[in-house]
Amino acid sequence: MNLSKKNQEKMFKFICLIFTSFAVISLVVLIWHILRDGYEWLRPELFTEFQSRFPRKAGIKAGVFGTIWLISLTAFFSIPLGIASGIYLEEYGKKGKIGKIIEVNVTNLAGVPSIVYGLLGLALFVRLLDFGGSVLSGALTLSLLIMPIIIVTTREAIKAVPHSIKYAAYSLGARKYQVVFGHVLPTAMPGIVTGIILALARAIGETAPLIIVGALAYVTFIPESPMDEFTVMPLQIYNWASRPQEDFHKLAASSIVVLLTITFFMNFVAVLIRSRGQKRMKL
Amino acid sequence: MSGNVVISTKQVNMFYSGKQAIKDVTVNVYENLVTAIIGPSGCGKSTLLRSFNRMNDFVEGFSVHGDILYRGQNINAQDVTELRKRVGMVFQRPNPFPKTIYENITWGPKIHGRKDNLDEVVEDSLKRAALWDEVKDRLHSFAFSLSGGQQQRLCIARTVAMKPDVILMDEPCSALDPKSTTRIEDLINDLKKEYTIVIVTHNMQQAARVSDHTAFFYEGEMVEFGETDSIFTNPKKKQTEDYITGRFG
Ligand SMILES: Nc1ncnc2c1ncn2[C@@H]1O[C@H](COP(=O)(O)OP(=O)(O)O)[C@@H](O)[C@H]1O
Ligand SMILES: [Mg+2]
Repeated sequence: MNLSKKNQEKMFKFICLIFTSFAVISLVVLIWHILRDGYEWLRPELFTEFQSRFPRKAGIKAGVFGTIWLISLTAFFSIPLGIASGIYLEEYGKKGKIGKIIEVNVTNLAGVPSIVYGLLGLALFVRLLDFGGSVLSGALTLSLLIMPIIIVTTREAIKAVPHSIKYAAYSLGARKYQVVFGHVLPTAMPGIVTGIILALARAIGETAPLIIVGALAYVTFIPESPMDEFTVMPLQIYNWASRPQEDFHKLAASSIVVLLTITFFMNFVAVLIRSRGQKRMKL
Repeated sequence: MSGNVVISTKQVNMFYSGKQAIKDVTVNVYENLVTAIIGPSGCGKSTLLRSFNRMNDFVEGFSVHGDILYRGQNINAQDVTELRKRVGMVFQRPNPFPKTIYENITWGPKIHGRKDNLDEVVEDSLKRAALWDEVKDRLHSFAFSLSGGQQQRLCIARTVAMKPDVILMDEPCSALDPKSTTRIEDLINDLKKEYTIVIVTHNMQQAARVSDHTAFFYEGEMVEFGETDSIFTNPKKKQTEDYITGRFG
């Protein structure tokens, strides 16, 4: 067969299109299934009730509040540390040997399976520091999990700041920290925020590492301090989905709708911020 | 040639990772005059200019051998931020900060501790850069909303706001249309009353129009330096004549 260049390109485009539509169609089918199973159970009680043995009386209140606690604490630890590390690595530590070593590690850490973080959290936070199966242990574990993502996106965003802006600032007699805080960070901020949102959206969906650090599936209270035990939405979903009763499966489906709505919304905001940031950078 | 020497180099050599870019250059820049650096592309004009405010420090592998003096003092012996405050720079492509017009001008003075009368600083700098009338009603809109020529004048205003002694310009009109170029050339004529200006250009007519002194460079060496009139009407070196008459370049 002797295809011309043009036909080859058409062919390639077509194959790409097929694969893309395959992904999109699966997503649509998935969402449709979940909606079909779960829409009946999307009612106020879903949010106002704790766990129960009876599906009619069960809700994700504990999971919602647990997730809010967990993600807030995770954000509290991972955002400042992640941004600071990103700035350090990109602007200060690049030339040193230590910087190189950290850089390789961070890049590799971003690809480590989340269960490994769970084991680390179990050994370090639950046992060694004796935080037990608390929100704090969970949040610290998830912080370790998403920090590489925040660091990498922070670095990418900083790298994308045009040199011409930095040189302009230096030519006015600015010192490095003034250039970094006056221009580099503000210009990179949309990219950094996007990375943070995507990282947090990932943290919301995490289940495995939380099971390992001892999050509970059956919780009938809201955490009142970081040292309290907790559950999260995905864990409740997992619990319900593994019960034999049909109604619990529907309950799980309706909770998935809630969880998906939140993560879709976060991703949407991230995309919005990114595109607005790009517009601003254009000369 | 007379007058106060503001910047001078004494037999300097410059290298990028061992590759020589400037060879044995001795040159003086005089107060309140415009000195043009001309020569074919790649002859080292920008390299020399950037060495005056140590912007080459950012280039890995760059090194200078020999002395560069600013007001009689070795530039390496002074605080580099202080040097850059006194020796400002306008770049080849307009590079305003992604901020408002107002903030573009006030950022420099602010980081050097000047926080009072910023409104005055903005107005004064924009007037000196012949931009005030065009932007006075929209000081708080984004700098990127300006045209290329306006952006470059904003960059000049930003430099002027530092109250510098010297302004270095690296082909400031190369990205601009002829009309904006004329405006900037007029501006340079005004600015030289108060500042010492060094301008790199590969446009010989521009050098002839705006400068008092001209230095002609070729392959890293300064072939000829003198009053612009005599360089253009009566060059002493064959190479200079060939370049000026457009036989190469
Ligand atoms: N950042 C750099 N790294 C390495 N070599 C460079 C760099 N900048 C310029 N050069 C080299 O130095 C020489 C002079 O360049 P430059 O000063 O930019 O010339 P001009 O401004 O006259 O066109 C050229 O050979 C160029 O390739
Ligand atoms: Mg140049």
